[in-house]
Amino acid sequence: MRPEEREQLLAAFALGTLSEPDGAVVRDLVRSDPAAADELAGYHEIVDMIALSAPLRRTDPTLRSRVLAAARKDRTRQTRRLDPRRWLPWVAAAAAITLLLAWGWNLQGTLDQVQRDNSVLTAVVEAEAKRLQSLFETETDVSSQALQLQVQSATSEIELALAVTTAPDVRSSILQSTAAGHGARGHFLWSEDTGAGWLTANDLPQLGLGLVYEVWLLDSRQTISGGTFLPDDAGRVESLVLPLTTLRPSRIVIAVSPQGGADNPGATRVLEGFVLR
Amino acid sequence: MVGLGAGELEALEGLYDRYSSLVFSVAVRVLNDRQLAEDVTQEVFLRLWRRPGSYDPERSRFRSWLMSVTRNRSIDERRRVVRRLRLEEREDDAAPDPPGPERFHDPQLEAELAEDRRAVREAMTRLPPPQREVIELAYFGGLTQVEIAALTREPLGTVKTRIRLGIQKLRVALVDLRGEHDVKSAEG
Repeated sequence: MRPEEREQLLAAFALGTLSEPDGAVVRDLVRSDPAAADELAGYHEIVDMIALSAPLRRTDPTLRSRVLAAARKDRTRQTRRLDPRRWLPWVAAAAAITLLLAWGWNLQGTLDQVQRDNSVLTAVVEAEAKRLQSLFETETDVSSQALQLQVQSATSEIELALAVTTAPDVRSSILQSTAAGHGARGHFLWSEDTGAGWLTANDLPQLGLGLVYEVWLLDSRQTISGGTFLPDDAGRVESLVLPLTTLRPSRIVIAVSPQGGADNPGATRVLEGFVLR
Repeated sequence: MVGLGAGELEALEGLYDRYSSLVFSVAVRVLNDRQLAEDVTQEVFLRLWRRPGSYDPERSRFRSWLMSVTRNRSIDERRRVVRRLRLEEREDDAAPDPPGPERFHDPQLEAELAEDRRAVREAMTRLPPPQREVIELAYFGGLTQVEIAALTREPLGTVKTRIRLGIQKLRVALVDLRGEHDVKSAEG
């Protein structure tokens, strides 16, 4: 590739104006050539500054109130769903019912279920513990403020993940790989009461630069993003799924999106599943 | 940001007061619609509220990350609206700014951002108009090179060259600004 052509591709990629398959060429290039990755990072720095050329505008004062009201409502909702006084009786009741069922009817089947539930809980705790450990081990250069932020965020996610996985209304879905998923596997837990889900996936294909996976929840009326994530080097992820609005999903889709998220699942879907009622 | 991770509403208020005008300005520039820009602004801050950990301070400066998220969401929103309404809008970057929004008058933030904005705007203004046009169509319009070529009725190769030359010139013009950021990062 000529230097001029290489610069052209890297600049256009940073600007987000490259069509496929040229985008794939750049992703391959930066994967195989650290110098190209550095160059691309430099172009990204320039492109990020272009936003400052937009004329500054004042927001409507009522928007501030709306944003803060929505955040306050959201916090109340989270606090309510995390309040043990609210969900502990349900957990206890569910456990009692489970035991009764086990005793009287299908002991082996129920034990299998309990074992599965335990394995999910273990996965949740292990994933977050690994994340916390890696924060302390690898991010020694990060300021204490940033570290504190990430620890708080991880702690909050642990609480919410446990709330999801122990919710009495939790539903379990097996996610099937599409052709683009190349044999990826996934498992999704969803609790309407909690308003959140827990996703576990393995063998996800590695993504190119500038791309992320995005979780999509679909009901009969709408398709809502549940957030984006990047898997680890082994293609594995354990992640909370937090849609911004309330919905009763009937399907879940994991698709490839540009960094920052997309407005719909797009064509490159890797995992799909049904949230059974 | 630490307070945001702890779920402190005051932290969100602080970030909103500091950055909402920037977020809104980029959204208005992309969407050319005040209402849609407000929706995007609200969504950006609520996402930040719900997932403060989605920002990784090791990978980018907060402002750059926030602008990138805002731009992507705005472009997605515009594509969604265009698809839904089957509009065939022609992006005209020479058109005046949409009426309605008032100019920004927060002296503190204005002073803080003034130098960076002046440098970026000056660098953009100094670009030859055809190069500035393709960069703005790509960045604020979210158009691909192929779409820009069709819109401007220029050969694709010409569009590619203009983008490359334009970005290179910005790189040279803004090298001091990048250097300052590096120094600030190192000091911080």
